Amino acid sequence: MGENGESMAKGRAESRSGPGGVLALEVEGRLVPMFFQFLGKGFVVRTDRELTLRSFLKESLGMQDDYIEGRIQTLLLDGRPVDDVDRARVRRGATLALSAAMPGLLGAVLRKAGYYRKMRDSISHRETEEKDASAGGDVLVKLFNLVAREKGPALLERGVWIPRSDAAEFFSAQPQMFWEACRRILWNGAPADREDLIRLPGKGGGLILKVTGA
Amino acid sequence: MDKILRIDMGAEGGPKAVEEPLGAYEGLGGRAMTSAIVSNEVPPLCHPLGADNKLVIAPGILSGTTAAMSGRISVGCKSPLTGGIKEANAGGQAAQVLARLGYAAVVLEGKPRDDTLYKIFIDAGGVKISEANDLKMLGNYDTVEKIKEQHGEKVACLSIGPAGEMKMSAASVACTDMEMRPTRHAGRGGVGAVMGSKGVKVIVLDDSGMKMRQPKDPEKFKAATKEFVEGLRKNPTTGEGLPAYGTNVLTNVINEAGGYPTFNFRTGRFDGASKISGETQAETETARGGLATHGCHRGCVIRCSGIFNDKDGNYLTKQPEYETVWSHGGNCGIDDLDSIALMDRLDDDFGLDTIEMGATIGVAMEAGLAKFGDAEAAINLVKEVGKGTPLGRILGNGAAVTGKVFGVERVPVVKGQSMPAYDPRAVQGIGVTYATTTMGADHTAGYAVASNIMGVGGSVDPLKPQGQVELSRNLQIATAAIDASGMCLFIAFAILDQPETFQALMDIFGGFLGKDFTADDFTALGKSVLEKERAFNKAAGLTAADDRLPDYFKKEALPPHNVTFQVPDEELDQVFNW
Repeated sequence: MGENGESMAKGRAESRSGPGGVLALEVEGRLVPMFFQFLGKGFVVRTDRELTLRSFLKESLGMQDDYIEGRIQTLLLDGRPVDDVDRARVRRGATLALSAAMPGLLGAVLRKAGYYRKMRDSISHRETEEKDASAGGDVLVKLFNLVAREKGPALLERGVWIPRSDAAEFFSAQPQMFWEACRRILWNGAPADREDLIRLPGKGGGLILKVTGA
Repeated sequence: MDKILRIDMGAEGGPKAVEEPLGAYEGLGGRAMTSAIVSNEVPPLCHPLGADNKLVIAPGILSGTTAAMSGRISVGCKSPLTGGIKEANAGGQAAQVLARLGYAAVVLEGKPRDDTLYKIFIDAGGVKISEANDLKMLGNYDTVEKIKEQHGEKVACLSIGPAGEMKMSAASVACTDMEMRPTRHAGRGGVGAVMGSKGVKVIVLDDSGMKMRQPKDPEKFKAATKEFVEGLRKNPTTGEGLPAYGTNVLTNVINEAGGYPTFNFRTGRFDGASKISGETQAETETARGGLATHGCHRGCVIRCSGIFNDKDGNYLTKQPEYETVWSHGGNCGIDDLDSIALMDRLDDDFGLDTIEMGATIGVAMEAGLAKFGDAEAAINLVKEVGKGTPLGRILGNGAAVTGKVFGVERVPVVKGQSMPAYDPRAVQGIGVTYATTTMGADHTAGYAVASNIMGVGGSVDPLKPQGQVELSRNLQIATAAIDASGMCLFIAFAILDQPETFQALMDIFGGFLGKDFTADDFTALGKSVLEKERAFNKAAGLTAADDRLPDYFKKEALPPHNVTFQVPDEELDQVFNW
């Protein structure tokens, strides 16, 4: 993540840690991919202004141009496939999903600016002319497949804001071998255990999840 | 592959096998072979389960060679599900073994005089046909176990389960994989019912002592194969995405795009999608000691399959495909991978098309036979099919029959065949293919083959208003050619993105045939297949009215984008005007 991205992530953590709390896990490296499902369900990124999609990816997620052009093949803004990352704008309340290349005719059809994009014309993203540079706020980001695998470890290490209910459901479903591979659990800086994490849903809201593989 | 094996199952004194030279079928393979024989020899108005129908089994043109990815086998006939021509193809070992035995096709003809069930054994020494009543009503897994006891574990099998024996329209033909499990199915259109109507339970193929098929120009063929494999490995879809997650990698993204048919095509998003996604599936498989990356036949370099173990770490089924996870999962409101995997196993064992069965259960849920999301009820409905109860017989004949019996309007079929896992309202171009393909609703009929690089249909502006129809037409032509080759459709991405890999594929053909093979030749092959199929369907009584989506797709808006299918009928009627 670049400098801007790091400061943004830090800002998110500070703004959310009060009412939500910070859950920090140190786990065996092989467990880290299990947490990618949180990235697929979506995590909140706070921006301080409206950005083009390319700027959002660079500033808020720390992605480079070659990654945006080469690796990310499908971008869905509020469920609509995007063809032009320099024209599409990310606004407060938006949901953004990112995917690497996919198989199937749909994989080709949903690609940004792909040859077969006409086939999904009825749902393609169309940018309006309205711009509001001051309209920052929360954006829900979903990372799928290879994008989650590649960007996930660094994002999780810095912390992502997720709903507590998702976290509680996840931890409730984990077998003993999972807990044996958790080396350290800290809740707002204090040691915590399995029971603490399973009780999370009663508190509602969200939390900052940090996962470090060792 | 210089001969055709014809077996008259209704011959005087019992089944009789005859070998013939290729004659007019010289140079054909896969779908080109099955559709040529069916269109030439099967009376279009015959009953699909009668003596006049023929079941044609054909390896692809390149099958049995060292060309990577060339292990697809085609099974063709007049379909009991659609009433038109049918080609269903599958992976597994059968194509390579049958091709090395020298057969360009095996044709099952006639109708047995009684209900005796037969086993056909083919090896280098010829053909043996024997009674196999001990296999009656066995599932595909038990059938293959019996064959292992008799012939060892180095043979390949094509078999039917109870669904095929009961001549259900959703019945498949199973092909064994590298581990000799019956996990690869020629699933669509009821080809298993036609095999059942011929009284054939299993075809056992043994290529012991046989060699790889040799190309006419070995140097060109070898160099092209090397280039082709390198192209597959460097492509992000065939070299990374598919091996890592399999086809189910599509779930999350199509769901996010609002094109994931949910609750029997009522909405385009499913809340439980992430629980059954390819990413979750791969993690689950790995954690349980299964495999998230595995090939379905020798010579596969993409390896998009896997092994799905149960919670105790025991083998349950192969990695369910995206379409299976959707049909038994989101389409029925079910978000439990273990339940979906169990239904995949049951489908494979009973010998059922997973798309048709999942869609049928969705219609049954719409009818009130079970609640959406009730996995246990869905599993029990599949078991009804396996047992052949009256309800099971209805379900086993597919979504259209089930909808009619229970008075359901929302039945997602074209030509009687269930739609796959992509809502045509969100992706209208796929709706054009669903409506017009000769096969009935079929996502693989117009796959993402490199029609642009091939120049199929000339230079098309994909963004002009008529683009939907032209793109669908060109994809259907290109796909028909791939289906004739024996190549897996998943090579599409490497040849779509990389002109040099497409050229390598042409050079593989050229090296094998000993002459130049161009994109124009490829296009001509695809067109000739489609022309034969269209002519057969017309003679069988199918008309333009059959080239339509169900009416509700034009009237019911699909959330979340609230879109209806808007391609006019007049444009659909132009797809095959070339």
